[in-house]
Amino acid sequence: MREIFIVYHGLGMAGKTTNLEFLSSVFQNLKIDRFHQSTVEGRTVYLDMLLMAIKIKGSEEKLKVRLFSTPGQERFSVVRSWIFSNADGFVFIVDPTQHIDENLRSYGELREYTTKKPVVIQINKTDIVGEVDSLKKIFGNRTVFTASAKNGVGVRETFLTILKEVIENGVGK
Amino acid sequence: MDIISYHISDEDIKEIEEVLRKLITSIGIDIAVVGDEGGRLIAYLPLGDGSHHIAERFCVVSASVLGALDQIDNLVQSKMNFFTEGLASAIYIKISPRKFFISVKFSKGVMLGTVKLFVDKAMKELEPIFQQIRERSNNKFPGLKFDMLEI
Repeated sequence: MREIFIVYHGLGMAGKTTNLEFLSSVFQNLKIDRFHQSTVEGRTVYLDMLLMAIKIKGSEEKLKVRLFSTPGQERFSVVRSWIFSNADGFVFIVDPTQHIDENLRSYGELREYTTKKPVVIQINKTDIVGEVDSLKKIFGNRTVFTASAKNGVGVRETFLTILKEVIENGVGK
Repeated sequence: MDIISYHISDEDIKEIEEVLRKLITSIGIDIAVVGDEGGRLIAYLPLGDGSHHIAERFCVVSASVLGALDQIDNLVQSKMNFFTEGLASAIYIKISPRKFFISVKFSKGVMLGTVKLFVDKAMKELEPIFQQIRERSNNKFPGLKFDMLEI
């Protein structure tokens, strides 16, 4: 079975786990497994994974899609590089309620991996911060979605777009 | 940093399963999985109802442990293997230089030294297969298009 590994990255509390939770409920029929290793406060420690299998038309084969979110806190940076090096594509979640420099520092961690692998940007929490046009411009020609993950807005679109970009990228071509 | 990309053929899987079969029958092992550092399950034994689900989880958790261990390894310069034991069972994981691993769960009645010996032997047999897989340049999704997915 072929498999795609997509990593959701961003600052702590940006909404990565909320994205995976929403996708887990929307794609209930595709879900194989979901687990989340968290602290008592609900913060991701290491494992936050949603595993799905998508049927390929005209084939008995299914495409396995593994979504993994990273522990967002700065102290986990040493383990993130291992996760990044294994990814086929990335979703970077921008938290507009936190300072842009902090968001860009987190985005910068992806730099060495995204020269050959696709990345889709999701500006989350637009239900709290209305205007995000200036933020969009920062990411240049990257695909950018606005979202409110806790309300499920923009989550599905973000996922389908990174999935499409990963498949079109071919990975390893 | 290189992009990690490989495609494992059915023939590769058969060969890997054969090595695992020998490992399982040589010593009393509850489950043996082969995965890669990204937590992708490649092969496992024994097969059976519900075992795939267990193998998937075992594989991801093993890879995560190895990922964390990799950081510790930078500090202690040790070999890439891991052992832990509970009340009734124990787990031994060995990673290859090609970044694939064998992870086994076994009863504490089985001697750790025996497990290490046979896992090392299995790893030596798998190494040429892993090398072949890594060196085989491939498009991971040949012929696959997004609109072919039933989503």
